[in-house]
Amino acid sequence: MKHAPALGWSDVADRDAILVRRCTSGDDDACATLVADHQRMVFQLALHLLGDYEDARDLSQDVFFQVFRMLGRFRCQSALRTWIYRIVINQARNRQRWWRRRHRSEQVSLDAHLEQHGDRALTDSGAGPDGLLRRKETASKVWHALDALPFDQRTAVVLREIDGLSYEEIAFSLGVAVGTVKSRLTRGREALRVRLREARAV
Amino acid sequence: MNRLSCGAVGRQLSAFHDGELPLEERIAIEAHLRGCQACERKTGDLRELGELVRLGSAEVSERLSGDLDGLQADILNRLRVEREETIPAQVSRAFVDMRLGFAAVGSTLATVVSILLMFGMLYFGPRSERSDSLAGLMETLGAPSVGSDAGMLLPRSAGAGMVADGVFNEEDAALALSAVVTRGGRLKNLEAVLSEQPTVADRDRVLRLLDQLSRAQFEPARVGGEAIAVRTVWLFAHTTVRGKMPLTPKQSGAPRVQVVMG
Repeated sequence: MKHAPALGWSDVADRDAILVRRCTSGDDDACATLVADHQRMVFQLALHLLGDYEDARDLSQDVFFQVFRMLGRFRCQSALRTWIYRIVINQARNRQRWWRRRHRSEQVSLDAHLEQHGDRALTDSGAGPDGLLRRKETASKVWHALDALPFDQRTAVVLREIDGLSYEEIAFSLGVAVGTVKSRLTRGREALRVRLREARAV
Repeated sequence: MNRLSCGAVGRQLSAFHDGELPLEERIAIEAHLRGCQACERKTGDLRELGELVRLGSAEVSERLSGDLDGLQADILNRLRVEREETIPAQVSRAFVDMRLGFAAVGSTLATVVSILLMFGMLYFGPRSERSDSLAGLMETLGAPSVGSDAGMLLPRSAGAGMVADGVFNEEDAALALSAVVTRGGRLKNLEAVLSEQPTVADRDRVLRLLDQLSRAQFEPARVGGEAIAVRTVWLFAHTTVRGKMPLTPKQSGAPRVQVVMG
């Protein structure tokens, strides 16, 4: 049996370039393909960043309109996917600011939390249905903890753990240096680890 | 090789977990982890956190699948509507029904042709406005005076010459008259230029003279064969010379009119 040749980075870039060119020339099929290729990732990221289904759906539509409006300025210096991530994050950040101006949420300081709970080891969750249920509950608590993180830390964790982006891609998406991504991930994960220990201790 | 402290490892542990460290640092951290249970536990925590976050994401994203088709349809529909509202799209829609296009093009062409015709008539058409019209008067007044050295034929009285019948009998008189000789050979703006207040008799004679002159016909001034209107000044002189011999009727003095260009 013959194996298909692996898809290299240049193949992806070429495919992006062709798709963008077709979209900018008004090809409806190409626009549909672009949406189909990226809608899950956009919607999912929007949902993870905003935490509200309707908001995420609304944001996803806005993101694609902005993508189509700005597509003429896309110069293939990054992957189309990363470029779209950047748009999603910017739009989500704007919405967050708007939201926070109206609903100031209290955020718990990580250092205070560490002082209160210490740095205990996690216990094993065990196997079987009970273990699985408990694991889901823990996952839900971690997820809520993720929601409580500052926007930039939460975004870094989501892009790394869920979308699997490299530090360089995350840096481009957030518009920051790789070192900043590193520190945000470290702080974000440390906060989640504390929350995880807390969940296990219950 | 220097052994790393737990603090230093802790700062790099996240990047180590993500495989984002250079080989040398990775080897150093792996060596530390083999001898440090606390840091090893932290590494395990990071792995588990990743799994839990992905598990939570899967729970949250479960309901997405059914809605993605709807999302795509919404986006494409709105995109189509936006495109239809762009100016080029509106212009192209205006030409879908060519009956409107033909009417618009026809009316535009008719307007352009009418304007061209009007300018053509103004430019190439005859310019024979009446000399006593306002346009004629303005042209006369606005026309620059032309010297006699420019090959201009001066206006002169038509026929046998001007005779002031019964205006001056025996009296000597000299007065300047100013008038415009139009291209039609008529006098306009005729007036006497008097240096002093005339007597009643003189005023009467001057008025009769002006009356006769206003009905007189002149040959208009010409430049290159074309008649033009000019402002002229006459010196009207009547002199009686008494000789010893009686004069024949031919020699009797008809006033001479001399035209001096003003």
